[in-house]
Amino acid sequence: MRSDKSGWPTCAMLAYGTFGGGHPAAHRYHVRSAVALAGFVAWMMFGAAARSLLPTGAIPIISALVPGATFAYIAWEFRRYLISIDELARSVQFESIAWTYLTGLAVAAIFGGIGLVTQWSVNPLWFIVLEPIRAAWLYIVSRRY
Amino acid sequence: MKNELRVLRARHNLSQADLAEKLGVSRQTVNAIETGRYDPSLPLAFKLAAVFNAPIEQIFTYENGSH
Repeated sequence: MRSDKSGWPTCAMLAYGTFGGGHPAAHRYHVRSAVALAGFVAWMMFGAAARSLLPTGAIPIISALVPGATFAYIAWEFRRYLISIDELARSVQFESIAWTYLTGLAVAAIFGGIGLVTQWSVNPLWFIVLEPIRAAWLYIVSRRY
Repeated sequence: MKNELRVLRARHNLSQADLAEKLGVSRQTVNAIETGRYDPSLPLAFKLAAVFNAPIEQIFTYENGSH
């Protein structure tokens, strides 16, 4: 079968920020990220219930550490994914990360400026929104190829 | 950079997917090289040369002003 279309997997790019689970590295990244996120959600639910019963002790400390640990692990898995994909896919990923970084800086500067005037502050957890922004950049950058 | 990838691929009766598999890259990468939207790295260019048993300069031609 011959095709001249580039055929980037749009759904996977927008949903997962990867080029689809067909590649073993992407499949591994999807599975391990999903397990990590499920563990994260399970712990936060358990932690919320446990903190109401035991407001002091190890549970609040663990609950504070779990989000960072979860996303550090996902970042590590993403790094493994990046070094496993081919050169064009990696180049597109890197460019989308660069654009996401610049978008994040611009948005942080805008929110910081608003915060200076209005005393409004953004919860840093909102920076998780950068991930769908990266997915959007991935889609945009891939259109060039 | 101009290239003769499409011609060579047709001559060897390879689909983009076949060539991608031989090179260890995605079909999108082969497509992007073939359509001139992406210039491959030197190692990938050498792999292409090995697949087609041709010198690199027969596959790729530098054009002044190309990216």
